[in-house]
Amino acid sequence: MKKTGFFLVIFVLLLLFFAQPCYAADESDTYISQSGIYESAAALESETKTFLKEIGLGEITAQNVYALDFFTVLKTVFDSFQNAFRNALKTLTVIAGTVLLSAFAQSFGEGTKGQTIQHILHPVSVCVIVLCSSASFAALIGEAAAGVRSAAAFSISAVPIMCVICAAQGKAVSASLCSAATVGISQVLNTCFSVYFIPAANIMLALGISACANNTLHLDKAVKLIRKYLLIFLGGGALVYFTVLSVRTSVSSAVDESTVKTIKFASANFIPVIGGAIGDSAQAVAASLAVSKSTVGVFGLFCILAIFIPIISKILVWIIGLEICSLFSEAFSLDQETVCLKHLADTLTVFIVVIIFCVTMFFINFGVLLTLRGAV
Amino acid sequence: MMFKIVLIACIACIFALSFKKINESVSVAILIAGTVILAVFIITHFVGAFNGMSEMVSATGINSSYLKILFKCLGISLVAGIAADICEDAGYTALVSQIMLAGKVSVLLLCLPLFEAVLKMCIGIIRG
Repeated sequence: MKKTGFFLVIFVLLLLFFAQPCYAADESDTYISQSGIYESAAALESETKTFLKEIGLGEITAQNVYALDFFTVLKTVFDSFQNAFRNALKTLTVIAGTVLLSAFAQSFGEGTKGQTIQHILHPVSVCVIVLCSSASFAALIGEAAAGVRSAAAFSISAVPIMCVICAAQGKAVSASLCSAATVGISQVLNTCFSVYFIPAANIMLALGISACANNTLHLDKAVKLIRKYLLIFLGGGALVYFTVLSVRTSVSSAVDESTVKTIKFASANFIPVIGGAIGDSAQAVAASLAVSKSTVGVFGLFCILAIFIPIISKILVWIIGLEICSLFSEAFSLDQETVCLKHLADTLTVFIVVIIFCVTMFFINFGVLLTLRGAV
Repeated sequence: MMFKIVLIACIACIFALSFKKINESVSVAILIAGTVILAVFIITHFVGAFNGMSEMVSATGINSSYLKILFKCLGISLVAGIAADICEDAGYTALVSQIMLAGKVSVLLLCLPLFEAVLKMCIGIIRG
């Protein structure tokens, strides 16, 4: 009697334990809502929302994720690049025009014997370049910061989802710890990016602009120093993250597989009467979990793409445009304008490095979530 | 356009050289007149380019007042440069320095709103 009661309690506990995953096939949307995706999606830029709508994710549901068409996504990405190019081109044309005007003004002074007034126009043209690009830049930096913040929010929401999945699968805590460490470090890095890196990059941009407007202050050394340390910290963060990731890959997968298989075998063979039922239901649980996790994972990947593709495309177009403009001004020997344009391009390079690192971490994090199903 | 400019420059030069030995003040007056005519001629031809650029700026949604300031500065430097060259040719070097100073002060006064806007933008960027 005591034995039957004991196994009944275990059965009830196991049912409670597996209750959520048993209906996971229908509860993919619950997983999505648990990830805090709706709150983050509401805070996204209108352009990102339009991008999501265009690829067919206007309404965030699992069905919409499954219904995604590869060619539609590809076309939308291409259109996003085209729009970014079109919008940046206008401002870049104005910048190139300002460079031309500056070169034109400089050419007046070349023939004169005595003192010239033309050199006073260089700080003015630098100010005009900076102010012309500032409207686009402010929006771009804001979007990049919002993207990194969203990445941090997604990253933070990934741990509870992972814990739910691990608990539902009955995974060993030791095995899950490695995955948690990977996701946890990415959380820390994402938070560092949004709290320290983006403001530091902003300061770098502001100092760069000031350095160009007045080259007697020699602020460009401070700009180079900030850039150097930002890249060093970024490299350090990447080193820590990928070290933990490689340790996780080598250690945890074998432990996970053996532990979960042992739990399945024990439940099926050593628990009388109801053990077989649990063993069978474990397969259903695993199948439904796979659906649920894939949904969360695929959805996460698309969200990250949707968040970052417009920003990455814009920043890339701007970097290329600014580099071309700096080459253009270098051809006319306009030193101040060249340095200004290079500073702007350098700052955007730091932003794009941070963003690409965020995207990489995100793909890996969702990969970690997806591979957790492999053990069952 | 270039043919007309060369023609005006040659005529002014010939007349100035012809009158240099007879009456130097008339020669300088001819030189000034020729230079002003040439400057006006060149600037009127550049107005089209400036208008085109202003239209481009307004199409981008960028505040066109920034570019207007650049155009004004360019104009001031042009006028100051021409005046300084004329004074230099006439041999009044003290006037050249004063014209340069006046030009620089004018450009500085004109650009103060620009510097203010850049400063505000830098503060805005730092504040995030």
